[in-house]
Amino acid sequence: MSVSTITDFLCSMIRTATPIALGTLACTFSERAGVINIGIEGIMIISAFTGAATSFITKNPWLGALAGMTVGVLMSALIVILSIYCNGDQVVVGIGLNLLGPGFSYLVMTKLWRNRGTSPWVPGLKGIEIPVIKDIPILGPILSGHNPFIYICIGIVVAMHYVLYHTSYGLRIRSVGENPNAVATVGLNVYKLRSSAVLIGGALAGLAGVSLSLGSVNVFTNGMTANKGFLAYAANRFGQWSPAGSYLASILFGSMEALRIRMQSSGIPPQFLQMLPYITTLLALTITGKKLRAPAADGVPYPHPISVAKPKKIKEKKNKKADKNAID
Amino acid sequence: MDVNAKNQSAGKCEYALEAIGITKRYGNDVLANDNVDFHLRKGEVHALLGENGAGKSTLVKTLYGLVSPDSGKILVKGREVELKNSAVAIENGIGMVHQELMLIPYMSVAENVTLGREITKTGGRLDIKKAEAEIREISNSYGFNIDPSVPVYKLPIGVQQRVEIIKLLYRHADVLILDEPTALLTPQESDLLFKVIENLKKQGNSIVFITHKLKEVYQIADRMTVMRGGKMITTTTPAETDQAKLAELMVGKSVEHMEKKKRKIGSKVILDVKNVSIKGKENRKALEDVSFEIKEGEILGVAGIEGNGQTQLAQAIIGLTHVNQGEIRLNGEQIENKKTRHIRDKKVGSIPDDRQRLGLILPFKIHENLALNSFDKAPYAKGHFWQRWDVIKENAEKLVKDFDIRTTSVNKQAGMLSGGNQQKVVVGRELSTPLNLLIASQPTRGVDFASAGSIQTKIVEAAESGTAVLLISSDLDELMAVSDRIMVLLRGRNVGTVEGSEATKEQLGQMMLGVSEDSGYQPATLVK
Repeated sequence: MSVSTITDFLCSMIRTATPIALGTLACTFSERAGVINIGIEGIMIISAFTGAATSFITKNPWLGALAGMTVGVLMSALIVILSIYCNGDQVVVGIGLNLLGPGFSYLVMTKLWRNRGTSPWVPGLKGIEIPVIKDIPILGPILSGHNPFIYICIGIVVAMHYVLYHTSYGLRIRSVGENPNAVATVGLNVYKLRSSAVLIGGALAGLAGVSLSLGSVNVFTNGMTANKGFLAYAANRFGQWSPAGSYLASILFGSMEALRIRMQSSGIPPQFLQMLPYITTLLALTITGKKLRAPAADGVPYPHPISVAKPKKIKEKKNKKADKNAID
Repeated sequence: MDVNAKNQSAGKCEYALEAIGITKRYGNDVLANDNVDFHLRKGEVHALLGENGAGKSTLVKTLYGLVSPDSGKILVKGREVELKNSAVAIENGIGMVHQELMLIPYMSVAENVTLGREITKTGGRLDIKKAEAEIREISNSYGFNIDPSVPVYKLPIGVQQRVEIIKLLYRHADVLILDEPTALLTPQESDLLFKVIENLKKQGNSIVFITHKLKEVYQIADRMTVMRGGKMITTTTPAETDQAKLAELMVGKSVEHMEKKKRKIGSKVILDVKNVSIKGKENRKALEDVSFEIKEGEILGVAGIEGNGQTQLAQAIIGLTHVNQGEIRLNGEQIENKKTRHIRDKKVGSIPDDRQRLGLILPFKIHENLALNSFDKAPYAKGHFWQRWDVIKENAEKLVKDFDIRTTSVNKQAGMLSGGNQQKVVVGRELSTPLNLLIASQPTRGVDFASAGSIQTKIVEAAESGTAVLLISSDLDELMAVSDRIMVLLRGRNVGTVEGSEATKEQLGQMMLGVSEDSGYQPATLVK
């Protein structure tokens, strides 16, 4: 294997890993605050579409990226309203997003481009050449010349690590994912904290979607997320709910994807190769499964429904007196 | 109220906190607080007494801004304030230690204490060093001796409680509300807590101390307020009121103390546990080489600080935990590692320690919960297919009456009942059929003393009819009142058994902590 094959492989690994990594970081941030977001897949596809469409219309890919992130925030606002404020089931709402995302994209796509499969070419974001580094042999091509999402993603990993572990906002986010009651008793607003985390996660998931359509291929294809949103959900667990861990887990899954592309001409049936990332996911989760320690209140609604159960008024009009016993 | 107005105008007020005419109604018709007055003097320890459902919790939640009252007002140091939420209460110097500790186990003491009022450097970076220094200072000035960098889960419960108190002091609270702080503590830890409270009082703090253990009131309270049925009954001092009178005020009728009668203990061994060991977490043993036997009609109490193997012992006997070594015999038949169903069919009843998770299905109706142990057998079932709801309901009505479960209908969800009544449902269900063996874990925890008394009476009645009883409890008074013998578990080992009639709290407490009287006892709870 020559040096260039290896650098090619590393580049393709980081490239394929980046959308997963952004999605994973979205999961991480929102789950650290105790809200499970399994709607990443849906958010990614609708953002990928919105990004491509905006870029197509305005000819400005940066505007497209912004539009994609905005849609990500709007989609996650549904989780905020339905799950956080109305106490709806987080998993069901997430499934709703996963249905809404592709459905909406498909509908508008057929209207906009009169094509059900792929969009025409749209202006994408160009690779960034880093001045001095690009001239270093071997390292140069690995570090330089990639699409901006790769650098943004690494920046987000560092920033999220700093925010979570070194700022008061991060301490509060981690606390609200561990014990929302404790957070409420020191006079903080659990709803606002959780909402902020979910919305930031939504923006990241939006960015993940945009990185698919505007990062390298510069078209939008129906179903182009190919379950990367679910891989992200798994990578977050594998990465132990930490930004750095999430990124490394995404790189692992990304490398499987890169391996698949590389081995397409090897004669192994493509169906088997396509299974690689998912089999890795299952193996990874099986191996680490026992050691995982999720945030204690991950996926636990606040306030917890049992502790605030209210009597059904219509059915039990006669049982008024007994409620006295339920006060304390 | 006129008096208060005068005080206010004088600029000085003898009260740290006052609640005047607090009324709170839940839903349409449940009056939790009915025109309640409460006055907390500066620098006093004020006990707030009452049964479950008396409205204590509602009152203190109002004082801490968690509940907004329908009418009435709250004065802090003579100044009227509106406590919209707990943040406002904290600003006004009011702090509360909840019964369930509000801590995050995997975070350090410093992180827990500073949460919400973090110390940051310029640029927003957390300054953990400075936070730790500040906490160390508070901790030392009250003699707590807590290392702020330790994660909370490594601390014993008594120390965790002190972390909660530091949390309040860090926020400059001078009114501290302690909600049943001794519920989870050993006698020694309770004594330490009382010293802490004395210390807090000396430094000018005012303390509201909620409890339904009467003895504690006489140990530390300067004054006390009794509540019943949402009303304030009286405010008095320990000197003016003796225990019997106080109990009467709380319940509203005179309370008879259960007399300890000599029961007849049979000669037949019902439960025989031999050299049982159970694996715990991280290669430690949850139970190690535990042996004991219980005879017909005997009550064996199990004392120990929570987490020393009691739960595993109870679960092993009922078949919920795998026994790694040793054997358990019921009437001579080996039952270890048998299915729970098989063991229950041998007439074994179990009152689990976590009633909400293991004892009940909260969203199910009361009558459904009352039939959980035998719904598949006659008379509750017909054949393998049909449930006889009429019989189940009829029986439930009877149990509700027998066990004094306060509800208007058996059709209500079990989750709607108060803690004490939920427990009565569990006890009623388990004792609804004659038993060979009853395993009762913490049967009266969090239950007010009138209900606790009736539950204890039922357990003793069961023993009188020949049931062998394993009574696991953290309430030493209960153990000493009811048990024939008391076994003490420490780190999964049986460290000794004492006769129930000869046991003293001090002796049991020392066995529970693993210290002997003359060893120059250093409280094991003070972790460096």
